[in-house]
Amino acid sequence: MSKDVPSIDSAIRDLEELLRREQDNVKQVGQSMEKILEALERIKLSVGLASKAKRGNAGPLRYVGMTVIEAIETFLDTMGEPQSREAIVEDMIDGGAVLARMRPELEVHKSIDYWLLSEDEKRKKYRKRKIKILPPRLREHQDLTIGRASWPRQKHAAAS
Amino acid sequence: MKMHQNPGNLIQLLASYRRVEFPQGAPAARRARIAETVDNNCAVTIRFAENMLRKVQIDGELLFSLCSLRSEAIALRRACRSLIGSSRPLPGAKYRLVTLRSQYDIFMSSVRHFFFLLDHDLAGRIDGAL
Repeated sequence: MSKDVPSIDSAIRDLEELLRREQDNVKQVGQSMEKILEALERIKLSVGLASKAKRGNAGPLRYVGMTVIEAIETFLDTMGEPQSREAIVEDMIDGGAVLARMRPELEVHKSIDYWLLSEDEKRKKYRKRKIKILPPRLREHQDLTIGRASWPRQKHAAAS
Repeated sequence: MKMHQNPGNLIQLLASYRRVEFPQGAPAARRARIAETVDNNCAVTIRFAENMLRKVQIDGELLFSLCSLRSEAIALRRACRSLIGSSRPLPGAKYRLVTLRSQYDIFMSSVRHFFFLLDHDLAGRIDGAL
């Protein structure tokens, strides 16, 4: 009879053993989690460094993440003088500023058209809407080249 | 696909559009159906633009694009009127359809640009929808 019923000592030992095993398992899971988190951290760092390295002033990803107008302004600043629409469109498509697959040139032209508009022209389009109108960021010259509106007069005069 | 007469978002707007094809030498009844489809696409665009214009309070490419899209859709609907409901041949109907097609191409470009400003992925699906 006494052989069939386990003693309290053995029951406690079994329970201790079970708990130790579980503790080891939990430790292993914790260590694995830490390893995964470290790996993710490394991936995040490498992706960040890679994208910075890939961007820069040249290459097909130089305008990725910028709005079209920001990319146009960057291009104009790089060139230092007004550029034709065709040159701007070509550089925007080449630099990845436009992600549209169908007629990407159209997106650039529409963006240029908008940022060339004067405040009066926009107010006329919006009619009586009470909103703060943004000033133009681009300026077209007589020879149809486009420069930044914020450039000094001398730069614009040279083109006109 | 479920039709939304008052689309509340871009996906619903895209679902509201019906595809338009402009076959050469279409008979009068077919021309009227094409004009009806164009008219429907313009109507949903106008409703969507007007709803959105009430919410947009900041000047930008989006607001300007919405205003332009709305005006283009209104002009296109006007052009459709002469072709809708006429099963008999109208004088210059073929020419009117050619004009409608070129106007519709411009309208499609504006819709694509508008979608492009908000959602690049959806903008890529415009050509299969309109």
